[in-house]
Amino acid sequence: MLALQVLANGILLGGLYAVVALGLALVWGVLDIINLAHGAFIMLGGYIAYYLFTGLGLDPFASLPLVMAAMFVLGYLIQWGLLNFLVRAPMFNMLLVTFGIDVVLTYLAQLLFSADLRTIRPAYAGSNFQLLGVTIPWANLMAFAVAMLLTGLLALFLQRQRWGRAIRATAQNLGAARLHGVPPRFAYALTFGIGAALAGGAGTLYGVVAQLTPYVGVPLTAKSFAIAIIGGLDNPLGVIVGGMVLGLAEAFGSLWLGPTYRDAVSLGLLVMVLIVRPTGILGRTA
Amino acid sequence: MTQQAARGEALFEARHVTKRYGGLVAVSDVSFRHAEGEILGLIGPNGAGKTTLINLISGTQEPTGGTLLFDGRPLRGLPPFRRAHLGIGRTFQIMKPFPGLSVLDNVTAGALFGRQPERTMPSARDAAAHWLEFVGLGDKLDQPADALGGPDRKRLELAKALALKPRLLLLDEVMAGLNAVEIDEVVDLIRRIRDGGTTILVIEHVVKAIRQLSDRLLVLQYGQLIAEGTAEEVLDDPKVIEAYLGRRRH
Amino acid sequence: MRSLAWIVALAAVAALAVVPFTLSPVIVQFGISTLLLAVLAQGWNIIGGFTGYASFGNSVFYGLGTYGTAVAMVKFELPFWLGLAIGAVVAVAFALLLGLPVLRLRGHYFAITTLALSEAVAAIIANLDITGRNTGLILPLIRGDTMFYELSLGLVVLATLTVLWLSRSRFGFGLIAIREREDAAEVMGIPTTLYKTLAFGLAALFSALAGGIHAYWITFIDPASAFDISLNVRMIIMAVFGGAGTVVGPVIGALMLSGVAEVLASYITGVASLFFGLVIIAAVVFTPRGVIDAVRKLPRRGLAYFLDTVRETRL
Repeated sequence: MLALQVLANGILLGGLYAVVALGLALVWGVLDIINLAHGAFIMLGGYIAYYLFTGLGLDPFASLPLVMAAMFVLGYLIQWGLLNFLVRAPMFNMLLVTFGIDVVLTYLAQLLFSADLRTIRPAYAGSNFQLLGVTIPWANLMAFAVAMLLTGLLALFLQRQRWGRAIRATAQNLGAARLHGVPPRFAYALTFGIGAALAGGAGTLYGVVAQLTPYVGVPLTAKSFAIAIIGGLDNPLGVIVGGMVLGLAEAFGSLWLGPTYRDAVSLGLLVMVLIVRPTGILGRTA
Repeated sequence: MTQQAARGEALFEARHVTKRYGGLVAVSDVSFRHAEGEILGLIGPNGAGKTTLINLISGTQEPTGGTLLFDGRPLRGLPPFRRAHLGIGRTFQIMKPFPGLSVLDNVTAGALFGRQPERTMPSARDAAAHWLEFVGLGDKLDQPADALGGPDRKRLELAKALALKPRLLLLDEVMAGLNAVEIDEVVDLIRRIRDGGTTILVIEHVVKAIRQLSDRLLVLQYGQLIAEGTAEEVLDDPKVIEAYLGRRRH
Repeated sequence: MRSLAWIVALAAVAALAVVPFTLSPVIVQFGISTLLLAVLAQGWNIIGGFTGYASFGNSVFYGLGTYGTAVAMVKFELPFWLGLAIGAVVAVAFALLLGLPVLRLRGHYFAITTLALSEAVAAIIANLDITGRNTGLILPLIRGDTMFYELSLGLVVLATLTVLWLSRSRFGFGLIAIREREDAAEVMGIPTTLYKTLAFGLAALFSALAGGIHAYWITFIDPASAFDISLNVRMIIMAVFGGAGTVVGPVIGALMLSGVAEVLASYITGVASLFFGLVIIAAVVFTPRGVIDAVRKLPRRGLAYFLDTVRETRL
């Protein structure tokens, strides 16, 4: 039945969207930094996984930890070496710098990887299974599972681990971070690194279920905003809610209004949420 | 309530004013009259709802119930800037200067947009300079506002409110953190402001000062008015003493 | 303003005005693009620099002006001036109506909402028949870059004079107070909602006029180019690089950044965007308050200026 298929598509998409937005939401919620290069990080993660696959034959789900580690280092260095110098500047300075980073990364990607479309196609890529008359591609389902796993792990990390709690304390204020024995500069770099790692992981998954070009960054960043806002920044699980809402809205929007209205739907939704409930569905009301 | 207050014209009146946040009641069924030219003191333990009351009068917040009347007209629905035009001015306990602007410019804003505003920039700046002289900051006009120290910041807050030419001035703990000499200066300043025709509501913890200044005192505890009268009457009231038990300060 | 400053300004405008009669057509074309960007930067300056509401979606007004003018000229065969006016009216009306809910948001939320709004309007326009959907519209052709150049220059002058007026007027003072501390501004008698919305409308006006002129000049428009998001970043970086909240900063920023990008692009192809990214990063780190501020303070402080700036903004 068509509606059921669309529902399934929407949910799978929603799960992927959740992990796509996760890194941005973390960095924004904790550090109050909006990383306009977030999409570029996703794109880079995807390309790293792609080349590990075509060059070394590494299955993308296996290379995920490697990709995330590499992106963690990149993110850590960027925060430590550059963004930490702007933390107390007016808000739009940070937006401009991260935009500059996005421009540079996109250009380099274009130079190194060319603009050709690339997909990571492991052996199981084309196969599906049937459930209640609905076709579910294996790759998408696995991506969904990994996405949920990563989100859950992050939530646990922030709740339980010492570094995680220090990061949450940093979100409250810098003095609190010091009390946890974590110097703020380190806490910031660690957080941003984790955000980049999550983006890298999302990129790997994205490379499997969709197509990579150097230009996928900006639309993904835009989607991540929408998801983070719709879900609310106060709760790490908000991205799941936000991702699902967006995934389902896009799936059903495509069905009812036609595919060309897809962006209008997600954006219209975002604008409405911002005006009516800016703190998001799971957010605390200000 | 003394005979005096009952007879005098009330510039401001609160009737059964209540402010509720979800389950928390910040101000509960408060009623009082404030006569023109009167200095009314408002005291009470921390968290009693004093600043909330000022927020309700200045328009920063709206009451959940009750009425606020200024010069006989209800204030409900009037945004803060309209109340400023009517002549309600206030200082903030957590001071709020315009950080990037000079001391003079901070006060010029009030002169430009207050009651009976100045019409040109130069005349507004002159008026601002006059008020800054009055509060004792005449020598610091061009300094950046965020470079001022604590007592000077309070003077700035005061000058900003005065530039509005308020008929009712709401002072929220302008003496916190000042030493004895500075407190006396501020008391004198407030008296001179009243002599100029302004009606004043003063929130203060410094008991000596409030006793000297106030024509009448109101005491708030847990959002309720527990006593009202002259300083002598109120400060000897056993309910008031109990509210402050162990926390008397000079 | 000192008479010396006025003389310098007039000389600069005069020098710019004679460009089409003295320099090559390529430079004139470059000039038109740059001048229109300068208008956008000034428009942003009004809402972002003065009022402190960093809009990331002024491109929506540019786009509405573009399409308003184009639709008027193509579908209703109205003259250019009328088309421009219609584009401006549509954009300003949009700003005033949507300004009310949107300006209630602060900081990041405001920035993102404006960006999303811009994208949403673009997506809607890409679906309407009257606007030519995704294929776009083709406007009547008129030769003569000179006219467009002088028109763009005139608009820059108008926008800058408006900002000059803001810097001296009661209204502008109110906007600055809103930027500095909005809640304090309100209790001091400034009608914040009204002023913010008017500032937004003013920004919309200039952005729309720039869009209309650009549409007629380039004769072909489509949703992607009319609502180009990179315009937002470019106008902001130019305004901030030159000096947000100053009178001539945005114009100088626009001229400088465009100029250098153009020079570099002619030497090394394709690297313009890389350069742009690097300049943004360097500019924001070392001159966060803009070139004008640096020019004012460098003579006295020397290199210490940069160190101080970094110290002030680092974690």
